[in-house]
Amino acid sequence: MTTLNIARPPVRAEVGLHNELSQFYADHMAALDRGDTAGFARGFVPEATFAASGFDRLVFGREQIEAAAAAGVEQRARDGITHRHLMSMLRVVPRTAWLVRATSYVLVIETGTTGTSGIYASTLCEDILVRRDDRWQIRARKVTRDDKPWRT
Amino acid sequence: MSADDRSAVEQFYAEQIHALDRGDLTTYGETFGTDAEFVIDGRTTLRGRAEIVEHSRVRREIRSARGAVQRHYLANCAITPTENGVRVRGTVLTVESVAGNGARVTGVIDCTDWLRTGGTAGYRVVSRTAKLS
Repeated sequence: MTTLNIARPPVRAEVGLHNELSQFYADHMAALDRGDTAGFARGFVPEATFAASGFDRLVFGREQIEAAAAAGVEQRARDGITHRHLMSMLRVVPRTAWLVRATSYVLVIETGTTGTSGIYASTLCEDILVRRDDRWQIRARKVTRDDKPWRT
Repeated sequence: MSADDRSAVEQFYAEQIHALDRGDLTTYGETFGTDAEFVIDGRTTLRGRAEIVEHSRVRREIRSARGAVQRHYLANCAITPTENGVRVRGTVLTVESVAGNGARVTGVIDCTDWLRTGGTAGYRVVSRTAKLS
């Protein structure tokens, strides 16, 4: 059997990063979906910011991000619903060896008390990540819900 | 195929699809070969980059008139190197959102591409076949 090598484009810095950040986001979203909000929050630097077009305010700092995530998890538990964050279309743009911009789509699927699942939101997630303590952490996150665009 | 090879292809599709969904049709067009062919559901064949871009521009205008935003979620990419380039088969979920009216799935598409190296995104599509499920 002949083994064919893939036709490779010129080596680009983002390719190695794409692989590493794909794993980061898989762990990050899984932590949120299983209710491990401390694990989810560890993905942010202590001074991180989190803005979302569905929120009424900007969230400052890892502690507040964890608290906001925990409030959401508790509310969904009270309502008997679950959310899954399906991330795809990760686009990585390195700025420096220690700073990267990562843009992705996150489809949030909600399962209700009847067991029926549907789309809760289709979103664009724009992160600025920094490499600190030998791992990537989010410094700023901006989430745009397509059905709740930013007010101009 | 190495993890880096897969990442290069995934990064290419992220760049192409983000450009399409944000309406940057110049960048989107550059991810196709100038003489690329795009067959839609066995009925419509777009020939060349200009026709492909024009088709997307018209569809986008129709959606914008309704206040709708579309995203393409690509999953299940099977990537195969061949003598004629890289073949990629995947499933695309199209999701449309309207402010105040939530989001809905508007299509599930089986997509087969042939890629060649080139362009700023690393690859270019030379042939695309999209079939609605």
